[in-house]
Amino acid sequence: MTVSERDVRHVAELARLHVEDDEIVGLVGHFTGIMAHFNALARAGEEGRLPLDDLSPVVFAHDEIPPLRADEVVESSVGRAVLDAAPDAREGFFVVPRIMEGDE
Amino acid sequence: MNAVYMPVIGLEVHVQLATASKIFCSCSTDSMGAEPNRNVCPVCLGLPGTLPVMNEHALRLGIRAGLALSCAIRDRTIFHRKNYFYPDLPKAYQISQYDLPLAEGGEIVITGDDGAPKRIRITRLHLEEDAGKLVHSAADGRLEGAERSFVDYNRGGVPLAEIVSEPDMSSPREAREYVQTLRRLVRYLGVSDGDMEKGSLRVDANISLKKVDGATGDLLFWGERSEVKNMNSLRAVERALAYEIERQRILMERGGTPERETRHWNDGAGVTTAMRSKEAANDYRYFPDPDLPPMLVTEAMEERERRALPEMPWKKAERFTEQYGLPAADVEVLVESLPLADYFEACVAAGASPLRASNWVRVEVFRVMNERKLPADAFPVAALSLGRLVAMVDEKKLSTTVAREVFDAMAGGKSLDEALKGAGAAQGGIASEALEGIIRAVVAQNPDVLDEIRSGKDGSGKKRKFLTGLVMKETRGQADGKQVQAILDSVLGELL
Amino acid sequence: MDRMLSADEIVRGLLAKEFSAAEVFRSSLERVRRMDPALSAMLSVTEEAGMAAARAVDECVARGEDPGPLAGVPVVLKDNMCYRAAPTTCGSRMLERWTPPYDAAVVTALEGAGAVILGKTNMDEFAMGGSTEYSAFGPASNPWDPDRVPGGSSGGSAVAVAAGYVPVALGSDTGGSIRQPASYCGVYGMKPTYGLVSRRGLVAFASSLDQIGPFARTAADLARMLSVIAAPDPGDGTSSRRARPEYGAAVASASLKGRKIAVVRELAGMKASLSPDVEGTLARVLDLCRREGAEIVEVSLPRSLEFGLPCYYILAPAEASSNLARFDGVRYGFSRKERTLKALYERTRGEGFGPEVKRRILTGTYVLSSGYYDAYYLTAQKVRQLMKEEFRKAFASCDLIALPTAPTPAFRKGELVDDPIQMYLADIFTLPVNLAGLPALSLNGGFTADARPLPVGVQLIAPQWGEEGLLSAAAVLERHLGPASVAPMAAVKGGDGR
Ligand SMILES: [Mg+2]
Ligand SMILES: [Zn+2]
Repeated sequence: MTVSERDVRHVAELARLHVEDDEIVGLVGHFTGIMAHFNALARAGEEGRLPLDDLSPVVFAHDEIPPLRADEVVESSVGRAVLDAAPDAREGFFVVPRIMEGDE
Repeated sequence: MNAVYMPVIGLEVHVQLATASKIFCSCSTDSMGAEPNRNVCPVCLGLPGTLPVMNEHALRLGIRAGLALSCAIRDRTIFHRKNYFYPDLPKAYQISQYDLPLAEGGEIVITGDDGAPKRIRITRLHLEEDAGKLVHSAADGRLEGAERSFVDYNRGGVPLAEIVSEPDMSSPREAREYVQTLRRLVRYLGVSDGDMEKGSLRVDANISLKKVDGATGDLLFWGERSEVKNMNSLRAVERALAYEIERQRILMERGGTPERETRHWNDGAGVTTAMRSKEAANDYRYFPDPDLPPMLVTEAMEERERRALPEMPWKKAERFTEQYGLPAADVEVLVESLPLADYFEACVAAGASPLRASNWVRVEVFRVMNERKLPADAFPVAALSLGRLVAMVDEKKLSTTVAREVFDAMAGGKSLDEALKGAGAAQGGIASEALEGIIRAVVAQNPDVLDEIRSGKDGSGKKRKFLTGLVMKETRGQADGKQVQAILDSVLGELL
Repeated sequence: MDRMLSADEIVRGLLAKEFSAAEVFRSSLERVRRMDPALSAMLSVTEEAGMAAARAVDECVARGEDPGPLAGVPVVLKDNMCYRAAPTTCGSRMLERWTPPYDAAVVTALEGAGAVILGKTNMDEFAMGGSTEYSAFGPASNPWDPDRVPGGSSGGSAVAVAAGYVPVALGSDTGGSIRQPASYCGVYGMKPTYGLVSRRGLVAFASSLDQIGPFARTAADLARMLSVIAAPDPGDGTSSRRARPEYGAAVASASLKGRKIAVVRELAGMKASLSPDVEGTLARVLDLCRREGAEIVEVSLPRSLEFGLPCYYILAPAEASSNLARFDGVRYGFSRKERTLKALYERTRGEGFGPEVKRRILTGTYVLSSGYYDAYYLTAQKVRQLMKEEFRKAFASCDLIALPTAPTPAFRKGELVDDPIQMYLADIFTLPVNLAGLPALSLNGGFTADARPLPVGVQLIAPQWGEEGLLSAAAVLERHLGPASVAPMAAVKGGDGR
């Protein structure tokens, strides 16, 4: 799989990351380089050179099941402090540019 | 050829789980009347370096709901991250479940359009965190400004169970029935308060139309489905779906084809509108949340929740019909709420006849509950007391009128005995001392009538009857007529 | 005075009332003032909070109370660990002015042990990089040769220990970010078993790989730090509940007699990319092990060495793309004023993040996006399991595995900064350890013969929860190699000085 400028722009849009036009060429080059490594891995998987069939895609470093938290309320006063330091806040709300109801 | 359009409806219902704290942090879930961003902490604000820790009670409630829906419970279940940017989502991903949900493959029975029981298959139930709330303006005008939206994260991180049905409903009525049945169920289970107004139960619908040959029943065309959001009441579910069916039908009749899209129900205008989705396909890039290792649902946990299951509402309805011989309308009202149904049964156990107990619960108990905005389980009159009171009416020891007064007094905090006395009544009628007192008072208040009787002018007994009437009025008809006669005779005998 | 006190010596001297914690702290501050303009290891110095903590320790000693296992020991934190007394920038413009309203679990542990926090250290932005050149606040320098990089991403912490600011420091290691700078700077650096140290309060890069660990100049100090920070934390779902030993015991009773130390067969085929200094140093250290009674055996790790790199550079960016999505300019940190939400997001993130972070976010988004997820992300997750299994099998026939920490000694500043993939290759021996969740440490095995000698590290890897074996081996080797040297001031002054 090769990577095109369109791919990079699409991914940048998904990641909500503005990239300047003059960054694109470098990024396409980088992606092309790294994809060579990735594709070697993907191919090894596809060609059955690795016994992947019975493996779960969910991996954790150790198998301990974490304890669950008791359903108890602890008050935090951190909201005020975060609002005070927020980029834009008013009347206890964080403020963002207008979003229309029904927008996604 | 005569084409028929058949709606195919599946619902996704988000239910707020009845926990005290949020799903991954210790903030309160109760933000009614709270100022914005009050019930937040570093975790649910998604501050850097914070980690989620799963709330045990949320898992238990999820298991309980899954079992009640006859789902299979997965013994190892994990959370995924659903990645998308939106201001109400503080981490820019929602912790949810994806291909390994807590519960799968269940069913729920509703009353179908033909009046017969109809199975609706449940695809899955999964756990997830709620997002915050976007406010576009405040009612008091504080937050004007066409340029901005305002974000409150109090709801962010509240635990939800998302219950997804198969597309088994064929009309807006069935969809409504399904939501109602599900709501009753989660309330029964103590899993959620199911309050649509408060947003603790939210419904999204997937709806498409099948075009079928009316004569042969052959499928001619099956349109793409639209997803309808923002239906905030049972009525809205019904109206929105009716609108959407009509819209798709007209579109298809004109040769158009419905698109796969998300539509927003506007309750005021009574229409659905296409949501402005910039990217055609959402790409949520789900992957297992590395911060949350698998949750283990042990046999013991599952068993404990199974034992916590109450009698299911539909079973209870059957039993109420058979055991108590109640009419369907009564059963429907009583079974709607578990505390109410329990209350009714306790009344019957205390000696009340089922039919009269049902009437009292549906009318009087409901009235007081509504007047005082009380939940059924906080009702001030003990079911035992109401049961005994109703039994007295059954045995004609009390008239309905007096029983109502007694009931009101009990609702005001009096015990049954106090209330009976206060209403001038006691078990087994009015005590003779009390009656005598009333009679003496009536006689004393009518000296002219007494004089007439004394002077022998009451040959026909009209004056005695007049006094008897006054006594009966004073005792609200509870006194026994013969007893009144006897006591009056003896009182008058003293005075004459 | 190039012979700086170890944490052990500080605690003992303090209890013997040879000096005060305030004096130790002042002397640390003084060293930072003299050297850091040339080294840029520090992003903030918490003089006030540190002095208050030092005085509290002195009062504790005066009252005759136990001031804790790190009493009066100055420490520095990599700037991705939350500490209320200073900003936590992660080396990024995105968090330049962000001070967290809470402390990381490790910070609480350090304070509880009497440690005195001196400040926060320079790092590659959001821990992405291997040279500390990707810091938004300028690169740090290697104290042995300021024209060279100190390694990364925990470069600042490694420098602070190597240059003698502090005897011990904390870093974080996602693919080698403690061990590689430890190797480049000639100090000890340990990445503990995943789950041994709480990640609560560590700004996440790749959650399934990140682990906090210590830097030190002696094995005993490394053990002392680990004993303080390795504690179960119910606030971190990935924290292990198992009991932790007192790691100092492993150092006190250190021995290699009868231990099996494995070399890796595949290394022979990788000579082309190995510097002779690295190869020679590894051989020398193995020889010392043999002399101490260890048996040298051979194991094979073909998949880990062939597929570790792509596996890591798929999984780590995938998690990072999600972990770093929260930096959107709405609640905290850098924010661009824009008229639409989309512009707010895209401009904030476009300007707040540096080039390497952007590359990784884009890579991670790509491998998770629809159509690529199965081939890349899922395959990598499965291969990761094969790697775990491969290590498990290898440890059936040995106690420790020895590998180079990095293929070369510290490289020159600017040499790889525009060639990120070459930079990634420097992690080839460290990142399999993170993928398998194992503990490993880097110790200094010697110096190059250059005019400006550069330290060369050796990496020892242990099975899961095998930290004691690592510390024991390090302590034995320390008897031959000596504790890590403090870089002489002359080396620093002789550099470009910045
Ligand atoms: Mg959902
Ligand atoms: Zn919270």
